[in-house]
Order: sequence, then C-alpha cells, then structure tokens
Amino acid sequence: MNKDVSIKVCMGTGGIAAGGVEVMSTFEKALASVGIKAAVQKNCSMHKVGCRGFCARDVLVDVIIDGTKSTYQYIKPDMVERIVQEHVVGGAPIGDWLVTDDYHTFHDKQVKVVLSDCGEVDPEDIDSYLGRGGYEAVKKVLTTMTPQETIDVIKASGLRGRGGAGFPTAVKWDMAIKATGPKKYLICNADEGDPGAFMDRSVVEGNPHAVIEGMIIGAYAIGAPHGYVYIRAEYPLAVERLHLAIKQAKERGYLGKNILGKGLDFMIKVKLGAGAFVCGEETALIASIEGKRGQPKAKPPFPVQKGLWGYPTIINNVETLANVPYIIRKGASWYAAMGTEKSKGTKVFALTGKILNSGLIEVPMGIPLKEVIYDIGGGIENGKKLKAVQTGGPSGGCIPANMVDTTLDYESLSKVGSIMGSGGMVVLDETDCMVNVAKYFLQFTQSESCGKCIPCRVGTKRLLEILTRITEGKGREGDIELLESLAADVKTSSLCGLGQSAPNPVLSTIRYYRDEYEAHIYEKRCPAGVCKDLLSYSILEEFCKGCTACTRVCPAGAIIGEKKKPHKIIQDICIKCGACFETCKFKAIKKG
Amino acid sequence: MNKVKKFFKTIFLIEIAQGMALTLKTMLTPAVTRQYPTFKRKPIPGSRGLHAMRRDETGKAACIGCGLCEAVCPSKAITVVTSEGPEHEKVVNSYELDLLRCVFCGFCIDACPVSAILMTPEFELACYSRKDAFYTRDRLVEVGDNYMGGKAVKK
Amino acid sequence: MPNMTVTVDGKKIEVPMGSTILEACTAAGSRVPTLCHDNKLHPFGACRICLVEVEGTPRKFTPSCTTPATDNMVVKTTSPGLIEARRMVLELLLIKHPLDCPVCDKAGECSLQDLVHEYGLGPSRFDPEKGYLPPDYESAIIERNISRCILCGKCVRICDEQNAVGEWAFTRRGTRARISTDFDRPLDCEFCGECVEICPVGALTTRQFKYKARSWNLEGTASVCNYCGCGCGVSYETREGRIMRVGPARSNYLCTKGRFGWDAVHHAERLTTPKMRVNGELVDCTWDEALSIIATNLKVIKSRHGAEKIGGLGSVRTTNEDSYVFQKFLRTVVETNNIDTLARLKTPKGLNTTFFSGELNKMASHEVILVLDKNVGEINPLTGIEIVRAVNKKDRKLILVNDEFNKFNKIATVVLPTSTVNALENLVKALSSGAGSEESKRAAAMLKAAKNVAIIVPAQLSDNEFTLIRDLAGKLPEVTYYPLVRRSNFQGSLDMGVMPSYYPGYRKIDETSTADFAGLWNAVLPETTGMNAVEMIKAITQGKLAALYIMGDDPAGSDPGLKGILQKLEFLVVQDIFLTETAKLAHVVLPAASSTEKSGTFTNLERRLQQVNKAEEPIGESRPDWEIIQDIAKKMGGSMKYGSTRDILAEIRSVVPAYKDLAFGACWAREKSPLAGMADDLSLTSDSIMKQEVITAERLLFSSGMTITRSHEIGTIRHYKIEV
Repeated sequence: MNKDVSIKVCMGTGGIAAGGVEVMSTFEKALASVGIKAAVQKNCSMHKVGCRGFCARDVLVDVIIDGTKSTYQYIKPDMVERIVQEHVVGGAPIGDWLVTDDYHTFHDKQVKVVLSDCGEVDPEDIDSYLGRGGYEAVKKVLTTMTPQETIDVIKASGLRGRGGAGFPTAVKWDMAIKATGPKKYLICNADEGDPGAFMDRSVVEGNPHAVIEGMIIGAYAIGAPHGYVYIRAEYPLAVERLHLAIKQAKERGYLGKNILGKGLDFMIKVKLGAGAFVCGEETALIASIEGKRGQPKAKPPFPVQKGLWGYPTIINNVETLANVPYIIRKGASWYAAMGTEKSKGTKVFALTGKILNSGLIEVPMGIPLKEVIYDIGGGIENGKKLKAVQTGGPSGGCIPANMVDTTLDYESLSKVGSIMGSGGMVVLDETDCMVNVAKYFLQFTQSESCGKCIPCRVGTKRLLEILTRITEGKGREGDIELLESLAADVKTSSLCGLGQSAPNPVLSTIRYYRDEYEAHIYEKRCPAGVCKDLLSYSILEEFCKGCTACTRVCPAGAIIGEKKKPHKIIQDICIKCGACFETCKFKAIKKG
Repeated sequence: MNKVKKFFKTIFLIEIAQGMALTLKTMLTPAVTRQYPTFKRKPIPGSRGLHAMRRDETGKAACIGCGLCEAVCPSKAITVVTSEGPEHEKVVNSYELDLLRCVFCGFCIDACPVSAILMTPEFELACYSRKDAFYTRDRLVEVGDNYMGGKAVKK
Repeated sequence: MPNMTVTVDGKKIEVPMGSTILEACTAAGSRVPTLCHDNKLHPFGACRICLVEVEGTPRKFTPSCTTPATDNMVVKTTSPGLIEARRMVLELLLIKHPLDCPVCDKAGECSLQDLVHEYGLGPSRFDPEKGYLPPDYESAIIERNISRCILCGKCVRICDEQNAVGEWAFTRRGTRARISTDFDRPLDCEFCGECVEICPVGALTTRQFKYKARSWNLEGTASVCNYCGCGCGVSYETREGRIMRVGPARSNYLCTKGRFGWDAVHHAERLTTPKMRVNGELVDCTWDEALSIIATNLKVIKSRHGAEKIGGLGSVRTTNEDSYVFQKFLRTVVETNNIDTLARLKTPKGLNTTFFSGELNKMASHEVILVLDKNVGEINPLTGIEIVRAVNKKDRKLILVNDEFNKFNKIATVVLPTSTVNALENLVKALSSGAGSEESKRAAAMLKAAKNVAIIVPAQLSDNEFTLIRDLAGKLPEVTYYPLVRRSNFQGSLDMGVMPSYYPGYRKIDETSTADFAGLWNAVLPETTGMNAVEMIKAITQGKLAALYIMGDDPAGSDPGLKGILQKLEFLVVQDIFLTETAKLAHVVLPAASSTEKSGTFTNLERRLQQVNKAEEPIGESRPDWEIIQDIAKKMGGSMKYGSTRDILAEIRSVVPAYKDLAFGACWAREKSPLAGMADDLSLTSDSIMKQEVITAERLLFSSGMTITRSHEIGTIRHYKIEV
C-alpha cells in the first residue's frame, strides 16, 4: 500500500447521484487551498473508484493515510473541509462520520471475485488496474496456454453463465471452437434490463478492464477476431468508461492487431442498445446489432452455429467474462473450491427491497438465503417480518419466508420455483401484497414483450389484465384457474425466454400464496393492505383521542371531527393514501 | 268357431249398424274442412312462408351483403350482388330471391348474421307470371313493412 | 442428400436431412395447423400454433416449423395438451380480432376462420377488446385493415425475402406492434399483391376484388398470364362467367400486371363489333360484310398486283394456334411469305440460336447469377423473383450490373456500377488477365470459382455486347442463359413460323422445305422468302406493298411515325381487341377475343408449352383470331377446316418436330430446333422505326405495352403520387 495520502471517492452511478462529483471537487479544492502536501509532507492523490456495493450509504469516501484506511459514509461537500482539517492534516479520523459496524458485516460475509477490484481501482485509469494484477491473465494465456488449455481451465473452474440460464461457459466455448466459418464473433451482453438489477452496470462502471480482459481471453480461446459489447444506452457512465478503457487497452497493446506481439488480433466495438429488455435475449441481441428489429428468432440454429451476420457467435454475460481473468490468474481449483458441486464460484446479487442494507453483494454459491438476508442484509427494515424473497427479476419467482434456508445456487432455486436469473433479489415484508408483486412484474414483461409470438404478446397482456382486475377488487370466480391455465400455456408456447418465463411471478405467487389471491377475489380484501381499491380506513372511536393529527395530514380533507372528540373518515372523499394511518399515535385508525 | 261368428255377424248386420252409427255421429258434429278461400286458417306461429326483409335503425334494408344465405341455400334461390360504396362500405347492389326455386327450408334465416331476412307466415303465393315470383330487395322490404305494420303481407 | 427416419403419429417415414419437423409431418400426411408459416418463406415461429410433441425433449411442446427434425425422432401432432395450447392461441387472437367475417373479403379462405372452426372455440374466457383502427384507404389498389391483422409477419417477410422490396415492416412493440410502411405512409412498391395473397386473414385486401364476390362464389380456370414472356400460370376466378380476380398458379407468384392488369379485358372501349370504313368513317357492320370485303379486296389486290404486294404482321400476344393459322393463311391462301412480327425489333440478338433459356425454377441451382440487365424485375418480373429466391433461400451469389440503384442492389454480392457493355469488357478482361477494378476482380473470381453460372441476357443487345457475352461464356465451365423476353407469346410466334424466311419449326425456306410443306399443307407455296417487318414498312413507302393484314399489334401506337406510312396502304385490315391507333387507320377492323376469352396454347420464354383456357365468353361479337382467319380463308377458297384449337394443335404437333410429343407444362429441348448453335439472328434492327418506347415516362413495370395502359388498376398505380 502506498505510504501516502490517498483519497478514494465512490463514483459509481450511485455515488454520483448522491453528490460524488461535488465531494470530489471539494476535496480537490480543499487539498489545493490548504497546501496539504506541504502540511503533511506526503504525496496526496485523489481517486474515483467504482461502486463497492453499499450504495445506500453514499457518498462513501476512503481516506487512506500510509495504508491505514478509514471509510466515511454519507459524505456531503460541506463535510469535506472538516475531514481534511482534522483527519488528513490532524491525523485523527472523525469518529461520528465513519462507517458503522454493519458496514463491515455487510462486507465480511461476502466473497469478492468479480467485485474484488470494484471500489479499489480507478475505472478511468488502466494503470490502477494494472497495479492490481490486471492483464496478467491475458499475458499468461497468450504466452503459456493454447486455446484448448484455456477452455480446459474454465471447464475445471466450473464457471457457468451468469446471465440467468447457467449454461456452462466452457461447453459454449468448446462449441465455438469447433464451429467452422470464416469469421467468429464474441459478444459481451451488457444489456441488463431487469428492473432493480445493476450488477453488470457496477462491474462495467467500476472495473471495465476486467470485462475487456475476459473478452480477450475468450476471443483467444474461441478464435474470434471481432468482439462486441452490447450495452444499454441508459448506462451513460458505463458506456463512457468502457470507451475509455477500450481506448487505453488499445494504446497499451492489449487490443488491436498482434496483441502483446503474440499474433492475436482482437478488437472490440461497443454497440448501444435502445432500451428493449428483449434485446438481452441472444437472438434479439444479434438482430439488434445487425440493425434489424430487436426480436428473437427461433433456436435452433443457435448463435454458436449461425449468429451475428450468419457467423458462429458466442454471447457471454458481463459477469461471466469478468470472472474469467480472475480464474486464469488464481487457477481453476481456487475458483472451484467456492460454491456447491454443480454451481461453482460466486454470484453477484442486487439486494433491494425491504432490507436494511440494500446494495450490491457478491456471495459464494450455495450460501443459505437467510445468511444473505440477515447477516449481509442486516435483516428487514423497520423490524418487520420477512414475507418472501423474489429472485431472478421479472422471469423469477418468490421464495416464501419459511423456505429461507434455501441455498443460493442454480439447482435449489429452480427446485423452489424460482431462478437465479441475472441476480436481482427483492426482499418483501409482510406489508407487501403478493398479487401486487406479480402484477408489478407482469406490467414490466408485458410492456417489454416484442410482440412477435402470440402467447407472449397477447397472453401477458391478459395475465396482467386479470391480475389488475383482482387487485381492483373485480376478481371473478375462476380467475385463479384461468391465470394458471393461461400462464402454463404462455410458458410452454412462447418463442423466447421472455415469454417462457414471464408467467413465473404469477405461478410462483399462486403456488405459495393462493390464499392471498382467494382473499382478493372472494373476500374483496387485500391481506397486506396494499391494493387501494380493496382498502378502507376507519377510525376506532374507542381509541381516538381527538388530537386532530390525522385531520392535519389528510391531503383530501376527508377526516372531520371536533377537538378531543372521536373523528370520522368520510369514505367518499378518502383517497386511501394511508397518511392518517402513519400519523396516528394511538393506533386508532383501522386499515382493512 | 270363426265361421260361426261370421255367420251371426252377417245375419244381424252388425257391421252395417256400426257403420251407420259412425255416419250418424259425424253428421251431427261440425265440419273440419274450411271453405277456403272464404274461410282462412290462421297460420301457426313460426310457420315458414313468404320472405321479408327487415329495415335497420337507419331505415335502410338491413342486409349487409354477406352472401351467407346465398351460400347456404340448397336450391340456389338467392343471388346477392355487392360492391364498394363511396364511404368504402359494402353496398348491396341487388338481392334477388326466386320463389319458384325456394323450398322454404328457412336455412337463409338461420344463416343471416344480422337477422335481415325473415319469413312471414304468408303462404298464399300463387301468381300469374314468373316475374311476380321474383322478389327483389325492395319488394322484400315492402313485405317486411307490411308484415311489421300489421297490414296484409302480400301486395 | 441422405435421408433420416422420423416417426410421425406412429407412422415411420423417410425425409431428407435438414427437413423441419413440419415438413416431416406433412410428408407423413399429418396436418399441423400453421398461421405464420409458408413454404416460400424462411421459418419464423411466431404464431405458436404448429406446436407438436417430440419424445425425449425437455420442453413440453416444440414448434414444428422452426425445429429441424433429427434421425429417429418420434413426433406426435395431436394430443389433448396440444389441442388445448392451440385453442389458447386462437382464443388469444380472437380477443382482438374483429368478428366482421360477414363483410370481410377473406371469409371462406381465412386461415384463422378455418382454424377457429376446426378447433370449435366457444365463448371466450377473456373480455373482448376490439380495438378499431381505421383501415388504410390511402394506398393504391391495396387496402390495409390493421384491426384484422394477427401479426404473423408473412407480408413483411414475403416482401423482403421473395421480392427484395421490403415495403412492409413491424413497428412498435408488444400489444401495440403492427405492420406498417415507412412512417405509415401509403404503399409505394411494385404492387404485386403477394402480401395480399399470403395474408392469412383479411388484413390486406385488394380494392379490385373488394366486395365483388364471396370466395365461395368463385370458380377457378387455370390459364396463362398474357403480359410478358414469363407466362406465369394464373387462375382466373370467375363468378357467373365473369372474372372477379386472378390468383397465381404454377409459378406461385404473380406480378402486378398478372394479378391486377387483367381488367383491361373488361375495359369499356373493347371492340365488340366489326367495323368498316364507309366514306372515310369507321362504322359498325356485320361479320359477313366485313369478312366478304376482306376476301374480295385481298383477292382483287392479289390478282392486280400479285401476292407479293400483300403482307401480314402477326402478333406476339395471340395463341400459338392463332399464329399458326395466320401464317398458314398467308402462305397457302394469299400465297405470300411477307409474314413477320414487329416484336422481333425488341428481341435479344441470338435468341433461339445462341441463347436458349434455362428453366426459371432452376435458377437457384446456379452458384453465381450474373444480371446484365438492371431492369430484369420490370421486364420479366418472375425472372427477377427467381433471382431473389435463389439469393435469399439458397444463398446464391449475385453479380449485378447496374449503373443506377434498384432493389437488386440490396441483395447483390457484387455490384458493377457501369453500363452493360463496360461491365462485360471489364469482366472479360479480369477473367483473362486478372486486371481491372476491385469489383470486376471480385466478380471475376466468383465467376471463375463457380461450377455453373446463370447469365440474365438483356432484352436488347448490341453486336458488341453479344460478342462479349459469348467471350465471357467461353471462359466459364457451364453457363445457362436467361434471355429477357418482353412479349408474352413471342417464343410461340417464332416457333409457329411467323417469320418471312422460316416455316414453322424454324425450317429455313428453301426448295426442299417448300416441297415438304406444300405436301404437308396440300397447297401451292410461294417460292421466294418474304419481306420482314422492316422491309415491309419500307415497301409501303415505296408503293411496293398494297395490302397489310395486322393481327393483334399496334405499330402506329408504338411508333406514331408509322401512322403516315400505314395511311398509304391501299387496304389495311386490323384485328385487335381495342380500337388502337393502327385500327383507326384501317379499312376493316375486326374485334378479336382476348386471351381470357379463348382457349389455346402459349409458349413462354422457357419454351414451355402452356394451356390457355377460356374463362369468359368473348365480349360482344368478338371472336378468337383463328376463327376469323379461317372464315376469311374459306371465303377466299382456302381449305381450312379446324373445328377447335385442339385440331390446330394436333396439326402443329405433326408439323413442328419440337412440339411432337411435348406435354403441357414441359419445355421443348433446344436440340429439337434446327437453329440450335447456328449463327442465324432472329432479331431485327432498324434505325428508322420503333426507335423508342412510347410510354416509358412511368415505370416500365406499370406501362409496358398497349394493353396494360388500359387496365384500370394499373392505371391507378401509375397516376398515384405519394405525398409524405
């Protein structure tokens, strides 16, 4: 570690949104104005670093003085002056502003591979990555290994596709090496569309060189001279950093013709997606790169047989490729030692929802769900009870609270009716209505359906329609059965993964929470108290003290009553916002 | 035994007496036969007689020209000719029903998706020329008007 | 290709490797319903109604149209689960599909209607959502009714994959997806109507057939299109003896002329009665009057000036029988060899001697296709389509010579952006010395590497181009020529000997052949060869031709300069279906039956013998050409006694060796022609007449020829301007 003063400001999208740019510039100004260098007699440097996962606490700032790291949380520009004065110059960290213990518990249970350099390296500076062993793997592969040996290492590591389906990467590469054709393509799929998922984004923003390095190794293994990164245009920072990283890698001779003088030609083009979720599907992604309408094609032929422009094409997810350099560097057995028998290594999850510590986490495969929720996540917000965990985004399903012992790997997740997916993990508590959750995901898939095949185009719309009907209290007898039968048909008949998995949220919520659906339909009641049309608020006269707090917060003016006398809610005016319910200190408001 | 029975029957003219009794009975009951056309029987509801065409809400003939009656007609009595109108709508240029071919099966009524063609109970269809048995749309509408208006159906 | 065994519904069958499951099912006789599949198109897999069950696959159902069959696959095409899934798809479609079947022109031949009927759908479990979108009436002749669309994408794909036009595309996503043109503007395409033909529902319909008849009223008559040399098989669909619409038959494709242009025969200005000139005016007369006048006049002129002062211009639009009777009449009754067609002026040099056309449906068997005429798609649309099919379906390479830009540029492997003659020179140079531009070298390398090459020969060739093509072909291992032929029965008229120096079957006129034909026809034949069309025109100006009989051609319409010349004739007979510019000059005008109104045979540019069948009764008093001529011949003392076109065809078969055992639908072999490989040139050149196309102000496709200009539908396209 450098024996200097080094300040690292989290400048992922989360950090920037919390004011990272201002914090950084204030630090620069402060350092310059005081003449810190003179004061501390040390070399002072500023670094932007990528996301370290704990976006809830942004802006996070590391102050490293002679290798001793102190991390500050929730830093605002006006706090910078004091940190510089007291800590940098004075040498005493400001205890109140430092991260609390749970910051460390959040990190301690994690095993970081892909994210190991995120938050450490400066994504806009190749030297920072090189300083941490970057591009060593490329050198190793190009100098000491044949393509087949490279694939064998990946095979031994047990790496499986992190995009969702979990197809073994080495098998895919093996097929590509056997595919004949004048050209081959390697595509990095960075079209991360799941709502609430930001794994790939953080990797590309925090450590783009790892992805590039992974691609170079992949290209070497399968013999593809052309690479594409298909990335969403909604990730401007990631795109910018990727472009910069490609430029730097090219300057250093890691990309282009005759890489490292070893005769490998490989160049990466960045293709921006236009925000269609379905373009994350392989064939649709290829169509999109070709400039065609982004809609899936039937497989077979698989992209590895006939892909981009008709040539054999391998498509790997960002996370998969970012794993590759670390596997090459540290060896297959190191990687294979993590995880379960069939699911090796680690997996990045975007932990969101009603959880205390939401953020990006990387855990070894096979870790029990409850450790993620309670140890890393710090449990449920506001002391509520866990109801379910939704994994896999709109294609996934729900794991109910009583199955919280489920381990996180491809096999056990699919056993409980969910999927690993790209790694979205939404924690739901007792105030979440499962019908509403299913409706939320259906809304997403329905609006993202490309419209090519009938079951998905019309089927998802009807599923959504029925769910909406149920949440509005207009559910009919037989709706659950209709949902099940339609969902099963959409699942079996749809053309691509989007349609085939779109009914999963519906099916898995019906499977575990059928009673909630029934309550909505037959009793016209939302047990979790979420569905507005099924809600009514009333005042329990025996508890109401007539404090008028509710009258004051009611935005619709629906509560009337004299002081010190029980109040009343006029149902016709009430907009069911729940403000009175939140405000009442005497629990006099009844919801239901 | 039979021979004996027959003998007695013949002697006592039993059969003749029976026959005469029946004749006598019938003589005293009122006649079933009506003196058509002086006396006419009221057709049973739903009996299949002369066709009529209904008008739609705008007062035009309700036929939309789908040709299903033409297609279903077993005796090919109906001909529908259509074309495109000025507002791109389907215009029925002619609707012709040849009663001489019609077998009054009522399939056309079943086939009509808008219930434009109907059957009145009118059954007196005798006419003096073939032309009279040839019903155009206007004549059918007129039949319909008369029928609906409670007037005599046939012109 | 090796075969594999597939078991479909318990029936074992052999299918070639690479077949899809659907193809295997069809081969096994098990019908699998489809909505988005068509044999003409690449599999799409959108409708999900062709699902089948395959044993041993992880997924419950497999789409049969997109999945390749594998050896020893066991397939089930029906099961309660499959029926349930298919019913669900149909149920989902019907949520939005308007139930206006009673007024939809597609009813009766609608795939959706048929399937719903087959699967017996009852009341829907879903609430209907009939979103009504106004139909598109802006486009010429084709109407788009978006509400009815089921988004199978067939129109999008056929326009792209088969036609290379790409007029249709999907826009928007999900439930809002729809088919559309660029920015939803009205159609601006070739108007071939293939999208209408392939639409499984009534989303695309034609204005020509709109509300004319229901599909079950129609009776089909197989016949041949009369607009260009391709001779596409058509089916005239009639209701009570009148054509309502036209569909494709053999070639499975029709261009705009074939599909919509037939309505010229229903034109109000059709000739319905014979006319003769009385006091300078053409007035109606009876057939007997007209024929007597012709017979008398021809006899008088023959006796006064000699038979060599009478000439006849035949037609390339009439049937083989008409042409045969026409030339036989002139040779045996009038006793002159002054017989020709003006269409020979618009023919590639070397046709039928050097350039014998290959079969169009075998275009895709050639590794490289060299297109020397950029207008191939406009002159012979089917040839153009076969090129696109070869490129898009079989991945054949296309070398295009085009100094402009058209649809073929999009699919061409190499484009040589220069004139035909330059391109040929460059190619020959690149092939022999390896020198030249980048494109020429690439093209030459492709030609050299190819096992066989198809060359599309331009409709008109200069001597230089002709030599260059022969040079080029000499450097290639195997070449098939596809000459472009504009007129429909041009090949037939040549075969029938409508030429001054050849008898039917390309027998050159000399002493032996004259003796042979005199025996065959039992007649006295003129001893010398006659004047060709150019010479005849010249002879009129010089007063060496007194009478001219024109059957089914309009020289004055094609070249207004000929008007004055034709007026010099002592006697002019014109036999046509319209009162053409030429007919207006005639002394007697005879109304002929159109090709939809008579039977006979055509021989298309592939030399394929095709049956023309009568779909309608001749309009007014018009009659088939051969009947008219036979009657004149009888009046002039000839001995023609044909009862029907069959009798004539029987005689043709006995006289023309190539036709001897030629089955309908078969092409006669080039070896059957005495001219094969000879240096004879059957084309004519002239620097004075028929110099330019008169009606080329618009696209060639919509205005080639006099008949097409009288089609109402094609006229609509021609006069239609898109405002964006």
